[in-house]
Amino acid sequence: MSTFYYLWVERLAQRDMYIEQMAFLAVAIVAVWCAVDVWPPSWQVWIKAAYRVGGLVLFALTVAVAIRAAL
Amino acid sequence: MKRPSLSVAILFEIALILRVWQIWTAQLWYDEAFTLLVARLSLPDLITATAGDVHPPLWYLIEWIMIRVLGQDVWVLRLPSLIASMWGMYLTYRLGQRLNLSHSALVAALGFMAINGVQIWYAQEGRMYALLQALVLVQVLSVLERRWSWLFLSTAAALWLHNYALIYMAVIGLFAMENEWRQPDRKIKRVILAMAGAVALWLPWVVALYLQMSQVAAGYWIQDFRLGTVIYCLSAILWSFVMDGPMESIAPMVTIGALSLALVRAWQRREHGVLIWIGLAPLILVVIASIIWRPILLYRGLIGSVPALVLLLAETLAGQRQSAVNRWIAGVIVLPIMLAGMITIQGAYVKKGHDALLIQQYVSDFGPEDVIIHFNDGSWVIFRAFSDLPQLELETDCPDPVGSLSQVTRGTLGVERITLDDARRKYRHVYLLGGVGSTGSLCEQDNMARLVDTADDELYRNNARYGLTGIWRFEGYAKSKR
Repeated sequence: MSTFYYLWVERLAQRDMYIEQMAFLAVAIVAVWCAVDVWPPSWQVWIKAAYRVGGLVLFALTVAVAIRAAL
Repeated sequence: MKRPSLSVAILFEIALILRVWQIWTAQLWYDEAFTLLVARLSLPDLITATAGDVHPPLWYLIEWIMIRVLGQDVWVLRLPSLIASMWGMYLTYRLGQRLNLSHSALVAALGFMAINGVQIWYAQEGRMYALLQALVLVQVLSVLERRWSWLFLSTAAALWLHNYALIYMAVIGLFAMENEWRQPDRKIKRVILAMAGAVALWLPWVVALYLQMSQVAAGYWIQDFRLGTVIYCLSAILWSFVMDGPMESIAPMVTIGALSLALVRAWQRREHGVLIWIGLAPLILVVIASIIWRPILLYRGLIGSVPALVLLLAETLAGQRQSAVNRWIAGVIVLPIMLAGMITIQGAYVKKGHDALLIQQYVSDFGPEDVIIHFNDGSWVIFRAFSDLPQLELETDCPDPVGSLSQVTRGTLGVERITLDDARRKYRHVYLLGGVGSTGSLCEQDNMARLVDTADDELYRNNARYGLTGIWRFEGYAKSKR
């Protein structure tokens, strides 16, 4: 490892750490989504509505980030 | 087989247009330039150079024929990948049909494959990855359709194409056994014969592979890894391998989210085992091999799993069982990531091999007694494929960076080394080309900084973290005579 360009390795390690955090978040979101099926119907309505709003927010953020990356 | 719908036909046309568009414009980057240099060799030298490198020789043999039939234009080198990529799309469609996926899922999967940045990149890349993907699909379809001669041929071809084919062979071999076990007229012997025959055909390469493995143990394209690296590789081969900033984390997040959902749904409904196995087992095997043997995780190598993963995700997110609202949500989340992937990859594509043009521009007053000296293999390979000007590599006291060409390959390609002092005594002008890569050592960088301080002219310089960093001119014997 000592032959590697130091900054490169640092950056990859940092990238992978962020990715792990986001992946755990994704698994948590999906776990709740799947659990909704077995929850009381009155909860399901609210949780699914929250997911849809969350989906739209995520969409808006992703579009914004994509446009910024493109510019 | 059912006739394709109009939407499927349109997607194939879009795929073809996106893959053909600009295939002739971008210059060859390092890997493609290396392919051209090897393909220019005589057949015995081609085999020697390949044995000293990291891949089996089939791709170089295909390119050997291509450049002799159609010439050495960049599009010629990329044409086999373009054909393989379209073939891969057709086979993905056929696999989806064979597995009775819903039409909406098939259209979503083909739409993904048609406009996906990574798929387009490898369709326009003079390397073997689009063909590897197509051959893995042929193997899977051969098992499902019980065509044993096709299984034998596609497995043998894949083994001669890329070392990752060994992983796919293990995965598909086990799948074939399981699939036959469930048939009333089991033909397990046929499976074993097809696989064993393919291995027998490939055996002559095993010695070369053993030598290769000892040389590339820590190649820079094979990262050390943790969980995040594994997820990154999956995301990189699905969306883009050049995303930067927040998208670099958002894309893996959506990948893992969608995959988790797909796995839960498949488990609840006890279906799509084939797609899960072909999509994820190669990655799991690679991770296991990396833990118990040596790091072999390479995102490009996972391309053979992509069609299965795409079909699985498409059926989960866009299949007939999904409500219209859920499909819409999936679409609006996936689409921007897809576009970001396309944009970033397109950005990388137009810069492909750009270093060769820069070098050509800055050494335009090159004289008959001048020489170009490359600081490392990076610019040597790119510019040697591009130009016939006399070119050498710099001899230094630093050890070769990890991932450099082996001595055998260097010798066959005709790389010669010289110290800067010797070059200045021998040539009128010396153009030194600096380069930096992910494996550059601090020794190299210090050495470079020291040398360029003594240059007579700085023709070009940038702060790139990868590729060409500068071009410096040194006066040679003409100056010492004065």
